[in-house]
Order: sequence, then structure tokens, then C-alpha cells
Amino acid sequence: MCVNSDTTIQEAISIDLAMNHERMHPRDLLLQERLRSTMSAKGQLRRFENRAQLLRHISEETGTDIDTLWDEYEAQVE
Amino acid sequence: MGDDIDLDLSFTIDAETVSLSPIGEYQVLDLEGPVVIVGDASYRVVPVGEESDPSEEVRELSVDEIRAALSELADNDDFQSIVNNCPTNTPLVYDDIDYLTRHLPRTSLQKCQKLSESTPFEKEVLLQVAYVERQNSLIGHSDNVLEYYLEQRAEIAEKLRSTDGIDSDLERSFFSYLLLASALIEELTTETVLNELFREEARLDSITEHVRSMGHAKRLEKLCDIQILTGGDHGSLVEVKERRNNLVHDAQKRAGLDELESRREVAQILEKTDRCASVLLTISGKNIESVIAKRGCEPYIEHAQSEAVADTITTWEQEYPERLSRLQDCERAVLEGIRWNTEESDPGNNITEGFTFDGFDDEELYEILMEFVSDASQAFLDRIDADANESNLDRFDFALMMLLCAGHSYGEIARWLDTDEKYVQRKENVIAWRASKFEKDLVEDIPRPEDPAWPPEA
Repeated sequence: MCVNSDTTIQEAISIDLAMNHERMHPRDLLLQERLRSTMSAKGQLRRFENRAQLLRHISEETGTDIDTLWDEYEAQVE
Repeated sequence: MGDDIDLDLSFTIDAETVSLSPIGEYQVLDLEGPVVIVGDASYRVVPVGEESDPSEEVRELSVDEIRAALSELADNDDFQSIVNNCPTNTPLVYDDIDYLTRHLPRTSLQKCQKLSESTPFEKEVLLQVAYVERQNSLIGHSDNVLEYYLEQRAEIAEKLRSTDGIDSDLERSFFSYLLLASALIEELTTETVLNELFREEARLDSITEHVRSMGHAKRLEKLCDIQILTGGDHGSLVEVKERRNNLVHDAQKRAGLDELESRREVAQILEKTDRCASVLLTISGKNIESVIAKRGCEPYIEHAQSEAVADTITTWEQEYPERLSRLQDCERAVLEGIRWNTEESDPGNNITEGFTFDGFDDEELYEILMEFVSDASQAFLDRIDADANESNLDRFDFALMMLLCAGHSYGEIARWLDTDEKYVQRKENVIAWRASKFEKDLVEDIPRPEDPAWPPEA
């Protein structure tokens, strides 16, 4: 069975929220997310220093407008 | 003994502007793909080249299974050995795996192949996990120590100001401060020796172990030999080391603060130690943003301020739309074109382009403008931080290049970057040909060494 990548991301977010009081080392999350990313693309891990830098980059990369990305960010961030 | 002097402590490390990237709160978001937020920073994989075939075997794993397998990996000696041999960054234009398979020793690659057979992971995935592990441990460690250091510095500064003599509480606080300062200095010294003595391709686990086993005094000596550390700073750092050792090994000296008799003397040692930590923060490349902001070359400053203004407009569109509209509606303002001089201390004199001040007397709008420029200034430092991380040069060399490109003298650059003039000259020999397209696009021309550079005759 092939797991849909959107589903696995949602699962990760759910687990993340569920673990609110039992924090993992950020490394483990990075490892996990890095794993998922490498399943579909070759690439470079990039670091962004603030929200605007990140969202402007994603907007340029995917064509999604920043208002939508900002709302998504707000909706998902704790 | 009591003293009632008003102490005005002056530290070198600016807690407001120093780049702190400690291991922080994390969250996972899905923004057109996975994004991991750690503290103020975020991570995302940016595609390079064509998409590769996905691994069906890995795709079938659930998040829980991946998590469980990863925790097993964390305790695996072979995996840790691969991590220890991973580079701390890879060139921007290469795919991580392509680079890593060429970089790692044969034994590490063989361990990776073997691990792949005994775990659910393909060898490529194992390599990337190891690389991220390496990168994250590098980002977090000394920055966490820096954060504790700044907290302890604030604590003892407050105690010094609020008491009128040296008591046991102050002694304990001073001792804690000195231990943290020493830990920070030693960590940064090791990192700087590795950066300077061993180029990326030679920086394997055995080399790191070799540098750690050298001992702190030897490491400082090496940095002085290659003149990244001036003779004067080397002497001050040796003093910090000796003071720390005296207090650790001699309880009597610890109780008497090694013969420091007044708050003034304690304050002077604090300032001197802080200056030493600041030197290491600069030459290790951890704290170079503000010097680039103030002294960097014009084409780069234009690029970074332009990006910072765009970042700030993006943020204000979401968070302060009304205030942004007021600025955008003002005929005096061309918001995208706002630029400022970072050397001016008065914010009112900072703006050099993008706003016409002649006859302007709207105080409310002026305040909004100042807030905008203040936010843009922070975004400017963030942009420099991001560019320094992306660079093919290490962060200190990136700063040195930016100052050389601005046409400053060797002496000025050495003074601003806490290094020796000779070191600046030596770097000028190599920066022009080591810089990649990324750096070359950020500056117009990289100076090449021309004319002999003899020292003045004695």
C-alpha cells in the first residue's frame, strides 16, 4: 500500500500536536521531515531566518500567493 | 569590604543583535510541502535538478514506524560514526547525496550499506539523515551555551549594580559566569581551529578528535600562529583560561575570587572576559552580521536592504495592514525604495532614500515610518545571516570578502573583524578564486591581490 504524502504530513502534524507535552528533540523532527522530503525529490536543505523569508521563497517556488501561505501558517502554528 | 561606586558596565557582545540560534521549540507545518520550524528559524528542502524515483519501500512506512526506526538509529554506533564524518554544509549547487557519497570515507559508506540491509532504510536516506543530524548539532551547541552565557552575564551585572560589596552570592555568580564564558570560548576556539586548519574536504571525525585532544592552550596558540588571533587577544584569552583554572582547582582562591577586592575590579574582569568571548564569536563567524551591515560593500548592502524591505512589507501586509497603507498612501514615501545608513546612531537620520523629509511635520506618520525601518533593520540582519549560511565560503571569510569588496584598508578590516592585518592580506590571496557564483553575484568585483604588501620598515 502506498501512503499518500498529504496524509502522512497530516499524520505528522497530528502526532506533533498530540505530543505537545512530551517534546521530542528538534533533531528527531528534522530527521523525520527530512526523510519524507527525500522520498520524492533530490534537493538541498535550506534554512530561513524569519517567516517572511520562508513564505516569499515558497511563494516563488510554488506560485501560491503569500496571503494563502500566511493564513495556512497561522492556522497550523501553535 | 564595602564600596559605593556607581558601576557603568560596558559589554562588547550586544545581546540584542548577536545571532542566537539555540535549539528551540519545534513544530511541523505543511506549506506546499513539509516545513520544520525550530525557534525563529525554519527548514525546508529546496529541489535541485530533476526529481528522482521515489522509494516504494520507504513510502510504505508510516510516520510511527519511521519514528521508531530513527530512535533505534540514534543509539547505533555505526550510524553515529557516519554522522561524525559528515560535512557541516554542502555546496549550494549540488544534490546532498551526490556530494556526500564523494565526501565520506569508504568505511563510512560501507557502514551505511550494511545498515541499510539491517534497517528499513535505503542507504541514500540513511546518509541524508546523518547529514541533518550533523548540521543540527552544529547549529545548536555553542549557541545554546551563548544563550546561557548572556543570561548569567545579565545576572551578575545586576548583582554587581545592586550590592555595595563582594559577598558569597556574588562570588558564586562570578564563578558560574567564568565557567560559562570559558565553555563558550573553548567551544568556539575548537570550531575556529577546525574551520581554519582543516578545509571541509579534510574535516573527518578523526580530525575533529585530533583538534579536541590538542587542549585549549594549544588551540589558542595555533590560532595565534596563523594570525587570525592577534597577539594581544591571545594573551587576554590565556588570562581567562588561567583565571578559570585557578578558581576551579583552588577552593581558597575561589572563595576570595582570586584576589579581586572590589566591585570595580570584578566589573573590569567581566568586561575583559566578555571582550574575549566577543573576539571568538567574530572569528568563528558566529557574529558577523552587524559588521557586514555597517561596513559591507554597496552592491551587497543594496541587495540585502532591498530583500529586507520586501520581507518587511510582506510581514506588515499581514500584521499591520492599516499602518502599511498609511505609509503607502503618503506621497513622500516610495516604500520599496527605502534604504538607510546603518552607521548613524539616530534613527531619524538613518533614512537615505525612499522618503522626502523636506517640510515634513506629521509626527504620527514619522513614528510609523521609524517602526517600519526598525523592523526592516532586523530583517536586514536576518538576510545577511541567511546569505552567510548559503555562501560557499565560511561565514568569517564571507564577512571578510564583503569588507574587502567595500575597499576598506587591511588595518580597518582587521580592527572591525577582531583579527590581524596579516590574516586579512592572506585571505585576499584566496577569496577571489574560492568564491562561487553565489558570492560573485552579490558583489560587483572581488579585489585581487595586487602590489607587494611589505610590513613598514622598523
